[in-house]
Amino acid sequence: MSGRIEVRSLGRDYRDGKQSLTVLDGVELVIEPRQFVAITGPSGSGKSTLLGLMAGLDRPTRGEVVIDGTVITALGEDALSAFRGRNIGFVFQTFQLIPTLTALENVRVPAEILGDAALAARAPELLARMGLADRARHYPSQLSGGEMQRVALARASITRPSVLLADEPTGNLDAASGARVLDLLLETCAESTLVLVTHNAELAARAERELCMRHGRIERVIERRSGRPERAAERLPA
Amino acid sequence: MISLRVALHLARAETRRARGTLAFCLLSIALGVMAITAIRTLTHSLRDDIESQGQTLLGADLLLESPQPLEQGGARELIDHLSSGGARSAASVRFYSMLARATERAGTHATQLVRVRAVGDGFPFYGSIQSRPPDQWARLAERAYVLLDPSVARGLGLEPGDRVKLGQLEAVVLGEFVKAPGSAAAEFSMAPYVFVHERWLGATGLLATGSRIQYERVFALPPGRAEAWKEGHWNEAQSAHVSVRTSGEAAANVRRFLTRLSRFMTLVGLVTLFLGALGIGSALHAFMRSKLDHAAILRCLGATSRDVFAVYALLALGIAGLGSALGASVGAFLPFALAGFSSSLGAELLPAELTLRPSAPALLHGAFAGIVATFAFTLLPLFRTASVSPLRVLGRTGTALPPAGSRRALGLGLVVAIAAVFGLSLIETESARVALLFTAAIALALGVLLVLAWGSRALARRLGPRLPSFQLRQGVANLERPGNQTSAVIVAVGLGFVLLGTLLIVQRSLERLLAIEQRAELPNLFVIDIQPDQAADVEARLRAVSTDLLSLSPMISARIAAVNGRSVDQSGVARDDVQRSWEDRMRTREYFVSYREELLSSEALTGGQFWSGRPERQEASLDTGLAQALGIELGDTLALDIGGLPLEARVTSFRDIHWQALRPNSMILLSPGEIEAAPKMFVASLRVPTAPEREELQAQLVARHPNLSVVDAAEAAQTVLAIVSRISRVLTALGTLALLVGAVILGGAVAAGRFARQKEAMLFKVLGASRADLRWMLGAEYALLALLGTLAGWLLAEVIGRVAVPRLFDAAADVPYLVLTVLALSALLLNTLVGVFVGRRVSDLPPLAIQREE
Repeated sequence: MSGRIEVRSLGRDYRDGKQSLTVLDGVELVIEPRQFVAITGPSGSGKSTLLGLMAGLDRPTRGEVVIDGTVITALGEDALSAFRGRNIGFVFQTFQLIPTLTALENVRVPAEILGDAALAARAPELLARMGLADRARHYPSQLSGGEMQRVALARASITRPSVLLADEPTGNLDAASGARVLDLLLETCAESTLVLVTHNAELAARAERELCMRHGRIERVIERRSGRPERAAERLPA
Repeated sequence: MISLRVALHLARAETRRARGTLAFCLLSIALGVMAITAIRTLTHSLRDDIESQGQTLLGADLLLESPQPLEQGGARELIDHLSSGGARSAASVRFYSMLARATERAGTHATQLVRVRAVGDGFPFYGSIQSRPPDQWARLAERAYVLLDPSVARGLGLEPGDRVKLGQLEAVVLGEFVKAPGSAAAEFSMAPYVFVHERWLGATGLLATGSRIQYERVFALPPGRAEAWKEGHWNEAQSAHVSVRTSGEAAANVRRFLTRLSRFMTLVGLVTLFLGALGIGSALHAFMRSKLDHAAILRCLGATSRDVFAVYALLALGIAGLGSALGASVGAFLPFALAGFSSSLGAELLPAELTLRPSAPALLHGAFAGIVATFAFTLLPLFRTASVSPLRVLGRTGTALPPAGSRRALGLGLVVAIAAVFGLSLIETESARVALLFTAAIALALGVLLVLAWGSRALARRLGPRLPSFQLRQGVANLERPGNQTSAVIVAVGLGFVLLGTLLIVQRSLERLLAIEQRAELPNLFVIDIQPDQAADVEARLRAVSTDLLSLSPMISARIAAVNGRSVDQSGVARDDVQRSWEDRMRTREYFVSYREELLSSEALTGGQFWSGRPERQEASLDTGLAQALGIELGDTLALDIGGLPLEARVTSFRDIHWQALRPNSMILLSPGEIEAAPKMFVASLRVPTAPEREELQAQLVARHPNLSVVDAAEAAQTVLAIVSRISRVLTALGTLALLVGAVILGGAVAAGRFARQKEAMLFKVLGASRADLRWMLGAEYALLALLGTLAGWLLAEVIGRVAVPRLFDAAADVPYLVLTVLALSALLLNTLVGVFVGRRVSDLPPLAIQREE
């Protein structure tokens, strides 16, 4: 899997009683493998909806999402779950760790769902890379926000997904923690396509492409040189 | 699909921060399983004991019995057939009679109704009959001796060597027999036994035609032959009106009674089990609602709905398995812990020695029932959790992925729950009819309680904002907040109260019904076996004492031979009396037929026309229930067999009989006519105001007519009341257990909803609420929940009682308001305390700690 994302005429309406609200309206988009794309825009512009549809968390009202040739919007529920588990990693603004699992267990879950012991065995190493080796047995409630997001990052990357989607990954963190998480995100996902929703202009500026959304449409596309490190592996902590 | 190991790991992880909630789940199912396992262990032990002691109970391998002497016709042929095979046999005759003390002794009764059992040489072939003084049984044949039930000796103040009169026979008391369980002397009877040797029977002069006498012959046969002989000679025995009982069918009355009692206790136990399952279902429902985010995260990470279902199903199964194992283990040994109580229950009721033993089938059965019930009641929350949208992690559920058909899931969940209730009831009661009725009753009770819960919430919504105190307003508002457990708790607390409340209403109504001494509208003295030539004298003597409710009715022993010329089909009738259906019993039993010119005040015509005077042709009026059971319609011809003589009558009316009026009613009533010539006896009833007057009348009647049986209904009712009271204790214990399960469920619901409440509590505290404010709020909420549950339960119990009691006992229900009020207050207090105790962390934790827990 290379991580190519194709979004075709994507639309999403929500119904509230008799009223229909169009949140996403005919979005067309192609993201090439290993590209780092930031989606920005004011609240309610459709950023998170687009991200959710790309992740297969939601069904579009119209249009389709194709990842590496697979029309994921046409997949059945179970097939979609399996596809997501193998190919897509997700980082949330609110971390979404399972509070009853330790940090190590949280990281291991996606690999265990896939039933891949080799991938699961990477968990301690990934935590160590995140600087959390000594926090492996801690529960989420015993971690700081920055630590929780690093655990979430390790979890998102354990299956070596071709696509990594992040929804405001630094939104709940202070500047220093946010910067560290972002660095780790870029380093960890060097081999993945990275799509990131953010309000943070500084963060967006590090993307190769910035999609500015408004009223459910992509209003503007800014192309720039990638902020992604060329040789991430070498720069990761031992 | 995730592997079992991973699913197990995730399921186990979910228990980490929810031990309290899950402990309540475990406890609620454990209590239910404990109840049914304990009942099953006890009933298994009883059944096994009666079966294993059948030979010594019967004292023989086979017993033939008939209301006619066995020395003639088809019965003689059966006896000859058995005897020609070399079987040892002994005659036995049973009948009710008065035993009179022949010597004066102050402070004791002069006469007592007894059941005489006259036995021939050799009886019993198995076991022995012990006596005080010892070894008196062997002397029974020597002279006109009697061996008495200890209660007879006590009641009449008799000692060895004293003289008694049995009919015209004057006999000497040998002593008392020991009612050793497992021996032929332990058989239960409404009147105590007196043994006499068969050879003195003629001298009593009590074997008059028309008297209710049971003629028997017992046989000792090679092992296994009795059953084969019964099967091979069933039809001949039926045509000769001879009942055949093998040692495996000993103590038929007690076994029938125990079968019904254990079925009833099982049903009460089942209510507790389903209540427990409902508790685990509702607690897990609340628990899983708090785990929806986890499920959504798992879905985001690639888990399918089936994976999520597997994780939480394993969790539910784990709790069900543990709870059921715990409940079954405790339940299997509970009867041992209560052995004293069990044996006190047994001493009066049981003919067999009760040897409690752990029953592996009962234990496995209890555990199985617990797991099935839990799974059935948790399927719905499982479906809901599994169908969670992964979009939930983005804080939006929207229309997201198609849920696994929530309507379909709801339907399937309900069908599975109903099927489980029916299936388990069927397994427990072994009766499809009872299981169906029970399932319908449970569904109806749940439905009504849910409607009441819905009404309560609607009321809370309307009245809540108008309440004056802030704490009360918040407490009431909690009943309507998202994630509330109002319905579950009202149903749980209510169902427990329904069970116990109904039992108490039934018990009180029964006690009132049996309080014959206080009920002036009922006769309290019955004189049975009055021969036609004695009728005038007996009536005159009765009249001299009291004319209150006095009546004298002829009674003729008869069986139904044919309807519209077609013989009653007995081929499909169960061989074992205990297994026989009510309809088959009606088909094959012996009736006391009466005749008279008019209806009694205790009868109401339901169809046809009652004869006036003496119609030309013989007419019959039947009890409506009997007619329905036998499919008899107006105009049909009923052929009766009266001691071998046929009599035909056209059915011209149906009646509803108010049996509790204790009037001389008959299910089959004939018009005066041909029937008057049949051999008969008379039954007289009247009300005699005081016990001494009754006693004197009894003595006088028996002195004049020794064959008469005189029954003091008030005394007989006391015997029944004593049994009712013993059974009530067991049932009340079970009902109380159900009420406790209700409190456990409330505790579970509080624990499961604690996190939601903590969040609110944190906000209230941040906004300035004190711990006392929060405690008042929670206290108001739980007290209100308990109050609503209790009131709903009371309402339903009263409705059930008022509908069921008249149907069961043909009498109005008597609601023990004082007892119910005390019970309701106790339930209210218990549930409020449980709620406040379990929820105390909500008010006690500082806001920061709560935030940390979140």
